[in-house]
Amino acid sequence: MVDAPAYVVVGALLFSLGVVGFLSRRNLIVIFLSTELMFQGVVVNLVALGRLHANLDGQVFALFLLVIAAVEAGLALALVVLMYRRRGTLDAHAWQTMRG
Amino acid sequence: MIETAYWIPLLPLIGAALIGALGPRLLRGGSHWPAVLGVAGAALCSLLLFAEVRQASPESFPRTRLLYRWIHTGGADDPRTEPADESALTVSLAIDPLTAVMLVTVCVVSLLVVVYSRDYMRHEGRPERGYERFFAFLALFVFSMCTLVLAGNFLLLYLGWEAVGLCSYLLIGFYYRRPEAAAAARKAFLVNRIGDFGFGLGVVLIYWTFGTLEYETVFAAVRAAMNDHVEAVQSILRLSGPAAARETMDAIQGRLTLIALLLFCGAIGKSAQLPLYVWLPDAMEGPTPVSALIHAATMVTAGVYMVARCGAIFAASATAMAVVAVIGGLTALFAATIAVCQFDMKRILAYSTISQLAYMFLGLGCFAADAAIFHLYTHAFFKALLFLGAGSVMHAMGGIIDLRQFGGLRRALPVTFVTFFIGGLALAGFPLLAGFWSKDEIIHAAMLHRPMLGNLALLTAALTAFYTFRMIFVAFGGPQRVPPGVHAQEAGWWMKAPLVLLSAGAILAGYVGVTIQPGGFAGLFEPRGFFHEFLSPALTPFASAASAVGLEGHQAVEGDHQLMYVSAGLAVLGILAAYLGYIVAPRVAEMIAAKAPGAYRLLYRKYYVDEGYDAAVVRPLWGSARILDGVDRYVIDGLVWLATAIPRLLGFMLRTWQGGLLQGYAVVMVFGVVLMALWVLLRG
Repeated sequence: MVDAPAYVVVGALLFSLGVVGFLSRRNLIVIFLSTELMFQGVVVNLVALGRLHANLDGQVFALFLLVIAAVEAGLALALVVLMYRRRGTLDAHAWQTMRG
Repeated sequence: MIETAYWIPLLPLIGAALIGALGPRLLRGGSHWPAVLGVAGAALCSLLLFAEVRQASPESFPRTRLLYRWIHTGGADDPRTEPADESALTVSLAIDPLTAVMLVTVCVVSLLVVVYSRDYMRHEGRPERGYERFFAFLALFVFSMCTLVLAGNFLLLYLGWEAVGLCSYLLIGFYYRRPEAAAAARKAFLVNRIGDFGFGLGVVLIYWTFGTLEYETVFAAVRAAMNDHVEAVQSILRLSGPAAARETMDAIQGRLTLIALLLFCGAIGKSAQLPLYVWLPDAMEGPTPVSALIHAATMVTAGVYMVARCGAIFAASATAMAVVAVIGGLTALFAATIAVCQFDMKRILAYSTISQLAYMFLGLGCFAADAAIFHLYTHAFFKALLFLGAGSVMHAMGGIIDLRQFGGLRRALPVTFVTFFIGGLALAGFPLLAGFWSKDEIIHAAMLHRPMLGNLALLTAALTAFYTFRMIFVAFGGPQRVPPGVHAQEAGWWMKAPLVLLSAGAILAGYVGVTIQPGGFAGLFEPRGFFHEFLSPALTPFASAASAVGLEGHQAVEGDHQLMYVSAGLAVLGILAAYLGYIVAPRVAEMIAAKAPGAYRLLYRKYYVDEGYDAAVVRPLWGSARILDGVDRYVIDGLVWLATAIPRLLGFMLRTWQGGLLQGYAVVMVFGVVLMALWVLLRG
């Protein structure tokens, strides 16, 4: 087995990729995808650290997170659909109406 | 006795309230009844009160009754002050012969005017617009005036004072849709306000000096001071400064003079003397019964009453008495000269009222307070008569009262003519009528104390006779002419009866002030009679001040009737001059006016006093109001705008940071999370 640090780094990498993607992409669905990536990074982290502490707490919480991710996916995609219907586009910049 | 007195202000007040509540809906054309009944009840009670006062012994006056303690500090119950520091503002009534006489005069004349108004405020039998409002205000006025007269302290006096001013405003501006009437009402109120400001200061000073506003306490303290009872004074007064006796007396003298002068300011305003008389001629815009009641017989006499009532204060100050007398004497002549050149009958009568009120003040200032009140009483009758007569003329002429537009009305309006003539004789001081007795006493007193003013008074008497009969001869003499479309006829008995009754008063009322004994004027009459005896307990300060100055009172010269014959002669002379100038040779007046156009114009335009006030007071005030408005709008609002500019600027600057972009917000969130994480990590 590889050491725990390696798994945590992978998790961190996934999370960072998710953040970067969230902050820099314009497509609403891609933004949401990045959100999912952030979730998965956290899941990996949880599992690896659970293995480190030699108990199942991490894995149990990872299961929780999977459910939450799924629910959030449903919610977010519903919002995206509605937003698309409003503006006819999936571009996040279309929602800049609060611009000073 | 006090029980009877309650009803005198109360009945008209109830009448007014009834008209106010039920008038427009229920009473309408019958709205005069609550007023008539209320004032009639008051008149009856005032006569009963008079009888009761006459029965009582002179020493038992004044009788005061505390009705209600309004604001009360100190006393045994109040832990914050010494027991001796008790003071209270109260509602209390006081009765003495002066009150009784005033109440009878006010209520009887008011009743006749209210009765008269029933027909006056109708045209072809139908009530005018605002009929109910008129009678409600009239009844309210009678209540206010009675309160003023019955007051037992300066607070209630001030209340009555302001209330009659209010009623005057409401009634002058009765035809509120006419701009002249609205302006006149405003002018009356504002000019009165100026006088009332001085009056209010006087009342405040009284409270500050004496610690109370009750007549009894204040006048007793003043009397004690004047009798050099220094200890009594120091225990009652609250004078600041050293307690040395001499300085106390000087301080009192100065303080009393100041109080008297301030109170007199109110009298100048309310009783239309120089320089605050300007509102009274304009007040003729109101309906004629209003002019008769308020601006001839009652409200304007409140100033005279007040000076008589506060005799203790006024008589204690030689300066104040001098001021009162001088203003009286000058105003009398001044107003009479203006009246000579006016064409509006009501305005002639208004200036005449100013002049006669001035006579009363002249009398007061010459220590002849009983003569002044006597003149007040007789004047109420004949002046109200003249005003109601003028109203009758106006009613018949369809609202026109300008002498140039009608004439020779003696056949068309016989009752009006005869009563008006009688009233004119009384005003002119024709011998044996009421005005003669009272006016002559004042002239006598003036001649004794201030001969120069006495001569002015004689000249004014001649002028009075002249302008009065000028008016009568032009309106009633000569060939008849009426404005086109007007059918002149006498009104109904509601209007005629008061005229007849008042003319009886104008002839007979004076005899209560005259003793009939052989060897007097015209072989039979001696001035000073029951009226004066009746009043003397109430007016003692004037008598004692007169003897203190070394003069024994104005009736000392028993048997000397020269002055009476002189003033009788002047009256006849004035009437004769008017007869010659307006009946025998009507062109003469125009010729004289043409010969001296400057003088004529000066008198006709009332010495340009109104224009003077406009330029000196009204316009500067308007100008400063505009300036202040500008300050408010630009400076103050500008500062407020500046105060708001700072947040606005900040907002403008911060606004540019708003991208409106979802990811922008996310960036900030991420930063925040990172910072928190760092903080957690580095803390441990």
